[in-house]
Amino acid sequence: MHFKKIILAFCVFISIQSTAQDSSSFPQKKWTHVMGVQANQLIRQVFNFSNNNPTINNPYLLTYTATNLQSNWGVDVGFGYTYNNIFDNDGNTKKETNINDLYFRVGVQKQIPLTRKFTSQFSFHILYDLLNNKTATIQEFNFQKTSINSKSNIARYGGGPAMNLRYKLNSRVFIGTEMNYYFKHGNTKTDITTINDFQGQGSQTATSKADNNVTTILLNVPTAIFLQIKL
Amino acid sequence: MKSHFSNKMLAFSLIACFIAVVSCNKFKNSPISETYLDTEEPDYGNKATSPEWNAKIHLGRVLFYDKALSLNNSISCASCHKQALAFADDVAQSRGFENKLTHRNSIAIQNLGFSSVFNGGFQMSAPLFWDGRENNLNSLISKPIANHIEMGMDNPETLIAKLNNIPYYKPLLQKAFYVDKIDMTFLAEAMGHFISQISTQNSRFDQSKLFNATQLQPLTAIEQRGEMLFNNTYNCNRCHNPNPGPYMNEDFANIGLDLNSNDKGRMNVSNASADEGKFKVPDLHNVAVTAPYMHDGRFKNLDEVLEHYSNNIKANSHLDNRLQNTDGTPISLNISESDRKAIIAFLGSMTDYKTITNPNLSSPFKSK
Repeated sequence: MHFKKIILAFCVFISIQSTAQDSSSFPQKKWTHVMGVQANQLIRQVFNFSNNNPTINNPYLLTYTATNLQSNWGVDVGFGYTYNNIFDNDGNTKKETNINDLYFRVGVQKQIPLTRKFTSQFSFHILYDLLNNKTATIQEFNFQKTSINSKSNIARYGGGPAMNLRYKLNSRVFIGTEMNYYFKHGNTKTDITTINDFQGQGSQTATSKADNNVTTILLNVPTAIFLQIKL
Repeated sequence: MKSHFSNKMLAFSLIACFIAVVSCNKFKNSPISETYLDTEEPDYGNKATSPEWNAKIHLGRVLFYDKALSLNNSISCASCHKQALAFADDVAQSRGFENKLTHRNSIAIQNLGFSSVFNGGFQMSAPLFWDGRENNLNSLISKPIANHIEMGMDNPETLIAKLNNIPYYKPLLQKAFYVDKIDMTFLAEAMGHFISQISTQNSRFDQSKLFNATQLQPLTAIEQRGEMLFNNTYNCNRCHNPNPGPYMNEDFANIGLDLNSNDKGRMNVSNASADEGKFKVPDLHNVAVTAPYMHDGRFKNLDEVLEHYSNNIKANSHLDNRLQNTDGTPISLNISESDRKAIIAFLGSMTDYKTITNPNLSSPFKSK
């Protein structure tokens, strides 16, 4: 319910901003649009920096920011998706996992120019994460073949503030980083099916399900680097 | 235009189907061998005089290598702590039961039964895990089993019920504890006994210090030079005191890996800001086989580790005093290429091949 209220408040804010622009008498461009991509790996490869590979906790691979030039207020959207298919076989057990992780955030942002080249951006985001994992395992032990299929699904929503610092490389290209402090709440559903096959002597199937709430509060320090382009 | 778009969609769908079919076939067609438990209990050192003690170690060994301890029977403790790698792993982050990446590098399991920490007159384990969040070997054991990324068995009752349905545990339990059913106390005690068996005292470095070096293999000239550089020139021994024989380092240090770290390390346990970015100073026995290095496995080899201490220590506010100049700036050891080779050769002399190949520490599960 609170989640819906937050979305409603956000929509009202955006519509007010848009209406304000429509009534403006200035003929010049009213909004700037900036697309960003997370570029840590690219920069590492192109410039051959040190081999250090610290973990990057920022899952938003694509960002979009629209800013009203008069008020410096605007919208900030982030999207990330990863798909992983992992197969391994150690000779006794084979396992295959399909991972689908989706991250989405949307929020309001206020830009504050610091110098001619540096701009800071303060945002408040609402978030939605959907993490899906399907793992199938097969092993044979003492004339018994066991297949286990596990599915876990984590759906989380939340929100929190973020701060972005951006450096202008030229009139259209920026490089930036961000830190954020997010609260997330949601639930984890797991569904496990175990099939024991007794090699021609019949089989036995068991299932178990679990549904747990999960809450996290996470501070992300600036490790992700975004290359941003003004559209 | 529409037809062009349809062709693209068709091509994309075909490629996606092909990938799905190939991936599916790989899973279905890949062969596996049937596994069985080698039930013969070896002598772990004192079988004749203390058969229960021996049986407890053997039970712990079976549990350590048993994939049934994970939620989907896909991994055991040994999946991330491999004997050939001094019970560490060769990847920066290991994969758990659902192939999700663990948060930290798998630390080498060795000498955990040896500690100088005493509490109320009782010997405790030295701080365990990278952040020292446990100091009791028996309580350490349940943590990776219950971890939602590592083994996923967050309900101990489910685990115990599952193990009690496995026929080979009954005779092992009867010999070790004179009971038919396992519980978390027996499980932890047995695994604690097995893990305590993993000790390092047979490397050439140990033998050259503990015994008469003329009778055993002394260090080579380059290893001796490396030892001198390690202890006297670069003072690495101020943190990594290379004691011979099994011992545990009980120190934590922030070695300036990052200006700001996402992983607060020891601070997560102590809640003291002074502990930010501090991690356990590892025992250097077997260090040559435990790559990658650091709590997040960021360095692929020892040369990269020495490069960090040579030129890359970051000036964060909690940097260890031993890595600061008098003005507070980070030191740069500037280790030359030849010195690095000598130090790496010396560290190689600390490899205990007996431990990493000991059949009594290997998997009791065999393939047909």
